Amino acid sequence: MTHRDDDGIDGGEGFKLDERFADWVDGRLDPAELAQLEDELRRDEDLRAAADQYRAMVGLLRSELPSHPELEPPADLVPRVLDQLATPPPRRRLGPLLGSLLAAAAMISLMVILTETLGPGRLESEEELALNESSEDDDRATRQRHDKQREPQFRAARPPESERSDVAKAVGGRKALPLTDKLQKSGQGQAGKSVKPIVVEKSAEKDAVRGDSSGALKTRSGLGADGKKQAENRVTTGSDDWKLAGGERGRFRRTTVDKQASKVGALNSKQKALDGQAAAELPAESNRRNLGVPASTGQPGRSLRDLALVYLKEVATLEEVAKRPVRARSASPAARQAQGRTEESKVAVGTGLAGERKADSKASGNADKKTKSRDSANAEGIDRKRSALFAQGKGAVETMPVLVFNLPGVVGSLVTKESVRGVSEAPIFKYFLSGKKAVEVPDQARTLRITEQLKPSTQKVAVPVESQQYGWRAGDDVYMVHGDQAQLQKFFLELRGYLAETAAFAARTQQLQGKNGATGPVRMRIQRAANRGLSTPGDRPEDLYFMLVLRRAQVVPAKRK
Amino acid sequence: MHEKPDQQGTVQESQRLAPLEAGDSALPTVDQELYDQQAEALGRAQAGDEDAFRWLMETHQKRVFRLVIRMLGCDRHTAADISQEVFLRAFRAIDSFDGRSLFGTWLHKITMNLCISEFRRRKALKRDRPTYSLDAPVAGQDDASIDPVTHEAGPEDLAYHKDVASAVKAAVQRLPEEFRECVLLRDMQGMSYEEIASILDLQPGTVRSRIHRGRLILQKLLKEFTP
Repeated sequence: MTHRDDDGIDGGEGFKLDERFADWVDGRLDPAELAQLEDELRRDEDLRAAADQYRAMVGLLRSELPSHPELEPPADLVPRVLDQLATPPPRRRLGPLLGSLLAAAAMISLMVILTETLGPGRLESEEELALNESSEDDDRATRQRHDKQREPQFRAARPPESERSDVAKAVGGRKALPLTDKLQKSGQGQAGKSVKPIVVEKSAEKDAVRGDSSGALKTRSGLGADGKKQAENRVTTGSDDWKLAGGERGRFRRTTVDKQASKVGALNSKQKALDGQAAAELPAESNRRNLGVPASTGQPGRSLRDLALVYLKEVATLEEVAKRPVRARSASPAARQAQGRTEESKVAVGTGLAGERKADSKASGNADKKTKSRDSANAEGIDRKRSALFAQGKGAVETMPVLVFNLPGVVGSLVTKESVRGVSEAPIFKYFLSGKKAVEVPDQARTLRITEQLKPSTQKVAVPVESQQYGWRAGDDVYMVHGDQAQLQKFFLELRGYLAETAAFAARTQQLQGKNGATGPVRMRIQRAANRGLSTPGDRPEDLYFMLVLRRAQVVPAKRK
Repeated sequence: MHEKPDQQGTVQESQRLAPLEAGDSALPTVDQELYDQQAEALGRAQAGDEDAFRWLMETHQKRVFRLVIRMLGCDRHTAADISQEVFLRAFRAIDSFDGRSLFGTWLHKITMNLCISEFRRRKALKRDRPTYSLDAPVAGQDDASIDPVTHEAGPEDLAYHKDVASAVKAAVQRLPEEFRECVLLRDMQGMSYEEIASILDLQPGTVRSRIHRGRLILQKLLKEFTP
């Protein structure tokens, strides 16, 4: 009895338990069936073990499912229902509905008036029809019908073959408006020709239509009393351009379409630029493989992990990080830069943690040894001080609030620490930190080797110092970011924008306040706390956690003696 | 025959659930007095007595709320809203309740229908990828879902307990919907197969099969927590 669902949950190939065991656990077997089952269980040890486990699991379910404190209904549930019942159901307000109806009626009336005023010839002109090339067969039928109706008034005459072919070409095979014999005979064929571009000749039509509009009117005004009256009416009620044009409307429509097309084009190009940018930032597939990161399951190059690797070169769980030895801070700026480059290369070759250390030592070896030893000693001294603080229980870790971004929706802005709404304490980390003394886990919050710099826009301010060894400090903002891949992907994109703005602001502030200004750039580090999944009530299997450390401290380069 | 409810949300789970020791097929007996009390309250509620309906709500609120929160895996606010809607619908339709099933069963049916609606709504939301407010409660991160650290239990016990609770909850959420509803109605609500079949409009045999399959999946998912 196996079952595999969409999530890949497998009931297990090894189970031999059939549905009788459900009855057995639920006490629904009659004595005969029960005796038979017990006999089978006695004979088959494996079956017995599986059945016992099944029963234990049902016991676990029955003890755990109803027992959680969150299952207690809120005290105000019944009063709320009673309040609702006491409140009369809201009356349907007719105001908005009435307003909508009136507006619709006004629109319809306006359309009717316009139609009547402009007359059928206007709306059913050939130009109009020609512009609606995508219209369906019923439009064609309408056009044919009206062509027939018009025939007695406008004695149909075929334009020259070449002209017809041009027009047909222009309108995609559609025939142009037939010209009358009178029109040709009266020497105003030129005016008739002027109508032609209305159909949809492209750039030349604009001038032609405008310049010859009056001529076209004259032409039509000579078609008889009805036609004259009709034409006069047109002239009086609308502008020439409006009447003749089909072109004018056509231009407007085309403009609209063009605008839409340009918008779409702009969006497409923007999206392409974003895609290209994201693709350019992504490490190679081989790097992902070497780093042990599975390839994305969605669109190539667009998954969170791909994106996160832009920032994140630390592929390790928090527990793994905690086990690592504390390393000395890097030395001179040259060495730091060398290390920064080395980090890149490390990720590129994917040598893993051991490889990182090796590469680090190699980079350090290439640096200025004197400066290195001096700065290293300096850094180690700071570390010792910090460790002493931890030992005294004064470390920042104990008191550091770990905040959680509950990501559903956090795509628009990054909430600061001061904002309480929407940010809650992370129970796991709170427990973890409160369950053990800080002195026992001095490096718990330490993230060794955090990643490369943030992004191009902040690289200028985020000098590659202290990044080889990093622990959060009092004053830092530490966040757990929780969400699924799609949410985090959006979040990271937003975060980049946020940091760019912050960095720009910080740069301006620094310019105003000088290098010793109180505010400095926000330096962000991302530590992959875990991809634990299902570690918190309500977690979904695809949930991911990232730790963000935002430091609002000014970067102070190591001093050279 | 249907089991009859008691005051704490029909029959206590420990009584209603068949004993896990195989061979004991006796279903729990029911206090006739409580059953009559509920029937009387129902009659009064149908006549428009608000107090009687309040009593019925207080009797059943725990089971309804619990079922909602386990079915949807949602936070307490959402569960409370849905539970509220369940009772509102029940009150509005109480005249149509013909007494052919237990009131609790009928209420469960309303609850399950609303849960299914909520499922669909969530699917639609997921499809549209809406932007939520930062203030929106988040499943599992809600206030009462966090067990306060007490001084009585050690960190390890607490951690283990929390692990088990989380694992059970997560495993149940991973169950396919049709299995989850059957398992929850049986192993959490303690309903009989026949009652479940009535609520879900299924054959009892189908209910039995789904319960068993659901349990098998859970057995695999919770393997590390069972001996």
